[in-house]
Amino acid sequence: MDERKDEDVAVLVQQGDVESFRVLVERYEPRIARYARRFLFQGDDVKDIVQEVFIKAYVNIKSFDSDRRFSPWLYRIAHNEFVNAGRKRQKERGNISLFDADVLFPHLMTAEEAADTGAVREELKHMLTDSLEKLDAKYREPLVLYYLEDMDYKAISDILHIPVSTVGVRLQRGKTMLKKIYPWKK
Amino acid sequence: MEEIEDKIFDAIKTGKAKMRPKSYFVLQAILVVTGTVLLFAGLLYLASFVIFVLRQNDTLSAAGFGVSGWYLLFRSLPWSVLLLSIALVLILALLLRRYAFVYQRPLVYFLFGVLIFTALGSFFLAATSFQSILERYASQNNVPLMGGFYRFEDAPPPEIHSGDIILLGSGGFVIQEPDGETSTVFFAPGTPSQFSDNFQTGDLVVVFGDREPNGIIDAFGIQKIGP
Repeated sequence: MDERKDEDVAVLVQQGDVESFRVLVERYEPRIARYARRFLFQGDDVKDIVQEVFIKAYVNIKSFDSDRRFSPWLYRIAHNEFVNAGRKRQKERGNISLFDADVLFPHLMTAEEAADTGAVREELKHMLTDSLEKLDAKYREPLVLYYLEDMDYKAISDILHIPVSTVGVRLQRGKTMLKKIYPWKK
Repeated sequence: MEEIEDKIFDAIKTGKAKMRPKSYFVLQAILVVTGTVLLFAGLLYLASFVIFVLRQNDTLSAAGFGVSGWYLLFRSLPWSVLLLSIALVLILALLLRRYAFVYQRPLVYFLFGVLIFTALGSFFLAATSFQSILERYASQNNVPLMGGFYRFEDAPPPEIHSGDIILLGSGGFVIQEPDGETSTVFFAPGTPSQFSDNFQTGDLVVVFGDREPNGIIDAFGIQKIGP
């Protein structure tokens, strides 16, 4: 198995080693496809969109700063593609506006919340997977990135281009919303 | 999975997907920096212009005369210029929001930073003769685009009157305004004026208050602005 760091592989691609890009595609294609299905809820054009994400990544690879992490950079491209696809289909629930009120002002909750216990985290993952379609996109995406894609606050901030403290607020509100809409079965 | 990978590499091999050169992104960054500098320069110009207009109208000192003074100052602000400034700040935020130093913190911090920078820069600019020189050129129609801005000073609020004291009395004085018109100024009860005991004939003053048709002004504020 290739042990090289993503960032080192990306540098090789920047230097013209096209075959190294295959390593990145193989590492990230399943994750980006999964993220796309959770974002767009349909299978037909997910493949086309995922393909477009990697083509955009290749075209713009020289804008990647190897001092930063590769995965948030790639997920940012994916996020933009999904938002554009959602707008085109006009099916996306919830709007992603230029300046949301929660990115304007500072929030007290800036530190990363205490890690959920394994059982709680698993339960939240389960609830989230079952209720994705009912969640507002504004809260759905941070929840997906945090619980299902295992991203930290900083990475989510880099993907969604929102303040780190806002990530915490959206996760908190998203969890509250999730608990309200989850169809509890007794 | 392999199907997607194959399509991606087909696009790369056939040249449908071409890697953009580093110079493309360097040029993009240069354009953003240039845009930022131009927007900041525009903001500084507009903010120093607002200060210039308020000074020209003698409105700035009105703030020292209570609620009426603040209301007068509020009404005297060149709002179209201020709205244009707000538009520039929003464009600046849109231009820079893709950079981590902007998006990782609440937007209000960025806006506050821009405000502080603009305030300091514009006060510095307003202290120079930059706006006076532009005004002089504008009066000769030598300032393209912005020349019309300088008509603001032609329309000071009607509650502002400046002139030389030509006659001094116990409860007020008479001033002669630049157009030759004279007005009798009465100190309204409680008229704040730190110089009320020091007025002399020949002093240049600015008086804040409504002028009655008979030429009497009940001043809510008086400021000495020259000997």
